[in-house]
Amino acid sequence: MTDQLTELRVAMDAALPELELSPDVVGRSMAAGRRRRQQQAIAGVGAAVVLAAGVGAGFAVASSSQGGGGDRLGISSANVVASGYAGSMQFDVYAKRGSDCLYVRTPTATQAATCWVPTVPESMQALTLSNGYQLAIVGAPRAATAVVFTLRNQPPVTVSMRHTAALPHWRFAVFVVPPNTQLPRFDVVPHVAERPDDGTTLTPASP
Amino acid sequence: MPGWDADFEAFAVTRSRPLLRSAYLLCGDQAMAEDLVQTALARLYSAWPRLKRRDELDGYARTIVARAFVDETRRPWRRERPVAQLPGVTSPGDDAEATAGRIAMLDALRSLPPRQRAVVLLRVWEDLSVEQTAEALSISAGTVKSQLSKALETLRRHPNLMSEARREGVRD
Repeated sequence: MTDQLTELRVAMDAALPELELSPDVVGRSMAAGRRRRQQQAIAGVGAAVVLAAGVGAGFAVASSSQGGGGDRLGISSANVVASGYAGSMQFDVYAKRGSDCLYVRTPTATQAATCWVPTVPESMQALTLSNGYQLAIVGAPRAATAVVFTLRNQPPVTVSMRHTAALPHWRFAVFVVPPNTQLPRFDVVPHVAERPDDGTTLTPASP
Repeated sequence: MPGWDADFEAFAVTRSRPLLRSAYLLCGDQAMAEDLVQTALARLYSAWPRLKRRDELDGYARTIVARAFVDETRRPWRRERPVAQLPGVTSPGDDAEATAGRIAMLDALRSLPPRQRAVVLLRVWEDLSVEQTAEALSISAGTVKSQLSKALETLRRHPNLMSEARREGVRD
């Protein structure tokens, strides 16, 4: 290394502040690494999800990267950030300017219900829409921050998110599954959820 | 749980701090630096059973951090926003002069485009050869040289880093 590079290296070293690593980074990394290995084992992500969830199931994945960035959720305008099909039923996930909510728009959603989906890894809840379709959301913030999704099964289905701290990046997946179809398992939810080690199959919440 | 978990964990616990320092030099932000470390460790974990050469683990992890940083800066919500004051650059016991020095250096690094910063990190901070740096970043050796040269020139001319004498030299 030349003197010039050595001098720069010394300056860089001196510029570093005391840095403390969060104690759970290693644990989170290992959990993420396990999920990554599972993802690598799945060929054809979307196809795997649909197959696992049953014919006609749909899913959409969105993240704060979609929607343009801007406000605290990273969504600055009214636009669809993700879409999916469940059988013949289309659903859109969209955002509104200035709102910290995301909305899931489905053609028929009239039944009033609320369920909470705390998105600590490995949690997921679902609700059954009035037309028998089930809707489920999985969130997976990479930061270790509690996030709560609320599903309000009123037209349109509203998915509100609140977070307890700055959350620069998060991802979620929305599943819409036809009646009498099993919801997808965690192990086919790449990118968006931690899988419980016991491979729990999801059970829809009571309507 | 795989049998090599303990093996990986031992590596991660030992190496996460140096990785955090490297990541911080790249991004100047502790939260993002932790994310980069987490990304690197997660990728390393997923590849762990395939990694034959344990002596290359450090290099592999560093490479992932540098690549992840360059990738992240391409994402729209990650684009850097200028701030008046760099957060988290003071340490307990810092005096004003030392703090100013830290800020000046970090500010100068942040003035470099992400890829130049990655080249500086690998070539200067990690002391990789030109060829190793090129391989790590999937660019040619010539590009490493030119990027490093541009980075050094930028740093030399950075107003916060230039001494009066150097300033005179630049004017000449």
